[in-house]
Amino acid sequence: MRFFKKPYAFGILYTILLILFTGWVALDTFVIPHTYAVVDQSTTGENTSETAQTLSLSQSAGSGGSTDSAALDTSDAVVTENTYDDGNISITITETREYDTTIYVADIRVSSVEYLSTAFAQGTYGRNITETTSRIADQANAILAINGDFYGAQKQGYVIRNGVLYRSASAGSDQEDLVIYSDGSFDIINEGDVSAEELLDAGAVQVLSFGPGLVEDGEISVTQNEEVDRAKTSNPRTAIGMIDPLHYVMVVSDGRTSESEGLTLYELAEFMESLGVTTAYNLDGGGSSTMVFNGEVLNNPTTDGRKISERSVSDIVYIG
Amino acid sequence: MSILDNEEKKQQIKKTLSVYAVITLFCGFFSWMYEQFSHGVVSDYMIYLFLFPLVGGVLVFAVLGVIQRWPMPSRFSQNAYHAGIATWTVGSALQGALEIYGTTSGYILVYWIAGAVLAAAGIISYCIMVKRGYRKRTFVKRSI
Repeated sequence: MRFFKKPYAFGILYTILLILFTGWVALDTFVIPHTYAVVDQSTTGENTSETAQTLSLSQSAGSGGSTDSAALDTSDAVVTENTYDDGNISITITETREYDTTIYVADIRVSSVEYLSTAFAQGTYGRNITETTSRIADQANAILAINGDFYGAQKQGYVIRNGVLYRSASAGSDQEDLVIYSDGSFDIINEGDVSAEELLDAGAVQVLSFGPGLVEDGEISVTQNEEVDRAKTSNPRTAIGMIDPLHYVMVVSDGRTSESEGLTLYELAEFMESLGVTTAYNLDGGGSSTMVFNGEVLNNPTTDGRKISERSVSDIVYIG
Repeated sequence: MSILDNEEKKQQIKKTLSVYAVITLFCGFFSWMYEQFSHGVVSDYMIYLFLFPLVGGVLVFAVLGVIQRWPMPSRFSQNAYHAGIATWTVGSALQGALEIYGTTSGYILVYWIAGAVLAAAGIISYCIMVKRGYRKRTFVKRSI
């Protein structure tokens, strides 16, 4: 008690305590990896969950990481700098300029939704477990990949990947998710309206939790006034859209550089609509925005606009 | 309070106000700088960071200085209260940084709770001190 009454001793001690605690919180949030589950790349995935409530690995085969891609035969594929075609997967990459921004568009047709897949960094579901998009794509034998929703930055928001429910904690009634069903169709749902378990029962294969939805039923579903905080300015962006079931587009825009300003969320929605999508969804953007095709990074990923380099992310969406 | 007590209180209030004013300016500058590099992503916790030292510090101690019959808080009260305001300010800055990055942390709650407990301890101990002081004076007057 006497120490507590000293004018400076307490102040100094408390300041040190506050700095140490804040440093620890920052490390825990941004640096220290927390592994919740390791996804077996060859079978269904092995549960090493630390948080049983978030993980249900009761799904059947084909649910783990890049299972399907491992079986993909690419020996007969016709590959050029901008195209890929193996009979089951057809990809055409185009580069365009809109809104003073370079935009990369991948037009994708697949014979089965199994070719549209997702993968975790290091094959592991967890927090602060990251790798670059190109590295994850390489490990998953992806033909085409974009960054995902960076689920690892959040503790809430549904995570269903390749038919496995990893996280069922809702991020709230305002959170819009992209659901990819087993028939290849896309839907945008609100986490306040439906549980992750119900989505799984309804045939959801992938659920991405970033958002917001850009286009629903062929109409732009964001307005310039409704844009969320992170969307008001021009930035690098990543989006995925469905023209028809089994016909998709993946879009990545450069931004934050003198050559490429970047897109606002509304501009991205307008661009996606112009591609003829019926459903489109905004994924993690900024420094995370990356598109990889045949092992090559196509865009110019940057966080600060000065240095072009890939940011490490939690997950990817890929074709393979 | 005596004239000497008043003079001492004035000096202490002046010093405390100066420190809080500097912290308020620093917080405002820090928020502004942070927003410059956040690529348009904003957080209310970062924007209004300066309010903690401004309202909790400058405003409170200015009122304390204006009302002369209120004595200067004891060292214990001041330590606890300042620590509470500091905890809230740091917590708000961290919450803002996390929101701008796009993540969350359960530990943020610790800042709000610890800040509230400390600030409340400072205020309550000050109230007790004031009450005891009045009682003592009333007792002395009646005895006379």
